[in-house]
Amino acid sequence: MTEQELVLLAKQGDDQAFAQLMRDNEKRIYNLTLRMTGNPEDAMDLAQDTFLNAWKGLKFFKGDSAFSTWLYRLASNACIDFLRRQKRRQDISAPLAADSEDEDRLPEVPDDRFRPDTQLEQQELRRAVDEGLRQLSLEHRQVLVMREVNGLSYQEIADILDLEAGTVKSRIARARLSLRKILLKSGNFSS
Amino acid sequence: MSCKPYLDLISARLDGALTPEQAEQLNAHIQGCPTCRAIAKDLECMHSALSGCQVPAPAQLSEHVMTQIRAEKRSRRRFVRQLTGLAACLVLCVTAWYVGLPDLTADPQRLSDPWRAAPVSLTGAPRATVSPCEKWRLSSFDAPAAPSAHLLDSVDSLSAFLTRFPDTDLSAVSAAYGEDFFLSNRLLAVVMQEPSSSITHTLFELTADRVTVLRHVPEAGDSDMAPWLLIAPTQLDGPERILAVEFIDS
Repeated sequence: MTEQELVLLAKQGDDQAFAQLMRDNEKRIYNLTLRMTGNPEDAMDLAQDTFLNAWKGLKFFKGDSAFSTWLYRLASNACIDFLRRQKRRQDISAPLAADSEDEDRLPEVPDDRFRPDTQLEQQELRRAVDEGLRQLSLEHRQVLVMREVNGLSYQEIADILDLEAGTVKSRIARARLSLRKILLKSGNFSS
Repeated sequence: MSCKPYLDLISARLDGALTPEQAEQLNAHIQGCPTCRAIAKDLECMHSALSGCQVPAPAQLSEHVMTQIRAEKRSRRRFVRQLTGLAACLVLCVTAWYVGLPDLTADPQRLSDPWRAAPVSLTGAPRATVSPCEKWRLSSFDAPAAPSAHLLDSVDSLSAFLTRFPDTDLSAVSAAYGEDFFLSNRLLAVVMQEPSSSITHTLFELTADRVTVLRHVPEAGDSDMAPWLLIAPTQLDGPERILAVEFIDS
């Protein structure tokens, strides 16, 4: 059964059809929430909220985009809202983003695990990159997770974020350079 | 040469988004630029680290969501059932109220006269239309054979009928129905013995052999009997005479 058919059934109240839609998308949604929050519990909560909101809001889904795109947009918005709320609660002296314009206020994150003289194995590099992701601005983190972790195309990301594909392309480039900068600072890459 | 234009190309190359010409330009630049070469190498490392790190969704994710969705559906069904039951009760109440309610809007004077009642539509064949009726309390000395029904077709027959109740002032009745009225109407008069108050009566049905009076008896009210006169205009093409009066309780 196609996604469109499943959506039609789900709109009529068929929870089995919705369960199938959820199975088809849960991995990408969970990976987005996980990489955005860096916390499995928060990721689980946000993914659940995303699917419940999708079920409740199915009547508003007009089918202008793919259901998966719409779902991804819900998840992405939920993550951004959650992280902004979290940021407001945190001490203003410890902002989340290490690639924001106000770099004077950035926290230095010394991490002995990733000293420059240590030979990084792939697993260690992943951990370092994960850590670096969490220090990126929300905008950069969002596009990098969508592109690198979930493999979405420029156009898919553009549809989700209501941007031009060209904007997505250059934002991804800037995000990658920001992440590299963080990894250089933490000693995981040598300049 | 500035490296800035090549930074976007280094990123785009990871995504397979370069045209052959762009790829050729980039390769040529990288060969002569150690900075961009280092950047390209680092970005490739990051790319490979990130692209292989997708994890499966926890099994309980869909389980939890579906549990909540089903609970919500059950709760909504329960709500709809309750709402339907409530609506049905409301319809019954309104219907019961409407059936038992005199048509007070037909004549504003009736609002101040609790002894008057109004009819419901007439059914049965042959049948006649009866307009809203008036109800008069008769003097206890004026009780002829009750219940009885009478069709009056002229001023004379009305005055003759009214003389049967000498102790009751029915001048309003004789004044209300003159010769003009009887040109195209007749009067239906029903005499009955009923409890002295609280009960409402409505002329319900007029057929060839009987008139049916709908009687609404409240749960609480007087039970003392008193004579009553119901009067209602009816059309000329109705039955010629009435044999019986029948009561039904609403």
